[in-house]
Amino acid sequence: MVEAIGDADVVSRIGDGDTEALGELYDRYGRVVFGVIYRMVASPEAAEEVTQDVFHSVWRRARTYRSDRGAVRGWLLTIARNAGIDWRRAKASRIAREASIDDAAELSDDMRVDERVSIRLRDERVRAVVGSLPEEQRQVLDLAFWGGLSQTEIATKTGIPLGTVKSRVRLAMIKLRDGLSSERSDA
Amino acid sequence: MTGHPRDDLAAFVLGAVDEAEQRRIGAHVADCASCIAETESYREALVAYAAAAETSAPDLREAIVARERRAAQPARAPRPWSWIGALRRPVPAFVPAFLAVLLVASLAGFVQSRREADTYASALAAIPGGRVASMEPSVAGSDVRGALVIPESGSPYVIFRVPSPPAGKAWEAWVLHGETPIAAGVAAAGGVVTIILTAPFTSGDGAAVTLEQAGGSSTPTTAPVLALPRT
Repeated sequence: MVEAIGDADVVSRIGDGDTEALGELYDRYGRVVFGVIYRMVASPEAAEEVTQDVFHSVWRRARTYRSDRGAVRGWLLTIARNAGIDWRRAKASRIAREASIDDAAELSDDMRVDERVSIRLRDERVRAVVGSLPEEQRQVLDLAFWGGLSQTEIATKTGIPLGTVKSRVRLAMIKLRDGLSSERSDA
Repeated sequence: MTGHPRDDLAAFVLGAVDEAEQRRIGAHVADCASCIAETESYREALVAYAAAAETSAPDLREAIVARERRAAQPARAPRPWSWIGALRRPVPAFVPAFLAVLLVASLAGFVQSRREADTYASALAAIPGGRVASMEPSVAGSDVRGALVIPESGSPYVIFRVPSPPAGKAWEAWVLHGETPIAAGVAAAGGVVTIILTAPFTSGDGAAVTLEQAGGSSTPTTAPVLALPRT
């Protein structure tokens, strides 16, 4: 992600109906938003459609953004992931399949998206931190973040007790946060 | 909820808690500065994690901006023709002579069955240095077509394709100059028709064709079937 300085001002301008500001926000975060959604939906056409919907949502909701509740990039990422999750669920509904099982099956395909999408790790430290996670923690993190599964759905899909899933999610997130925050302080 | 939901905040930020739990935790976090700070720390970590997936999509930026730009523009309902509008509306610029060729092509199916039309089409196509401007039909989708031709030498004229006028009626051409249209010639025939403009035509003027009584009128009495607003 690029420097967040001025993000709130950009969103404020979007709230005032400034389409150039919307383009500016895309310049800052559009590649990440598209990349996240692409990995979640595993289709470039669908990813473009959902990304457009995300920025349309930003356009409509910009006035509701509150900087005291968090940074723009986190707010935007939440909107993007929710849109990706909604798309996956709508797709699962359309094809009349059981969501938890098929989301998991699709997630296996999603992992291969890595081979199709040009993914650039901009920060070797991020790669290192993610790589240092125990496999079982990385698994639940991937299922939750990229697959959009809830902890209950992960437990159902993997057969792992719900309490264990919760513990692994929490530990993975703490390590991710702490590892990346130490990286920031090193910078 | 009693106390801070510390153990669930990470899953909350991930969106991995169940819906009811998401609402319950969200209600607490909204009013808890320390929980806001902790959720933000997790969210920042996820932002960095998400950056691994960064990739580009050609033209997506333009599509996103254009979508809102279009929506921001008020919808314009088709306006009925008015002479005032014709006199004030921005005018399509005159185009080079190659438009004559396009006009000929658009008329091709028609002129095949009409010998006289061949003459006019040929005349259009033979204007090497003249200028041709399409005239706008007042009824969208109609077969009425027309153009104003300004040859390098000779008088400007209008050429248009129209049905035969009813008995006692005729097509009349007008030059749009100033506030009042100036009568510029009459034709009682249908098909492909030309009217050499009898009124002075200067740069920036517009032109129109209306259905009038046989012999013509001094001022238009009907809405134009074709018009080229003035500049």
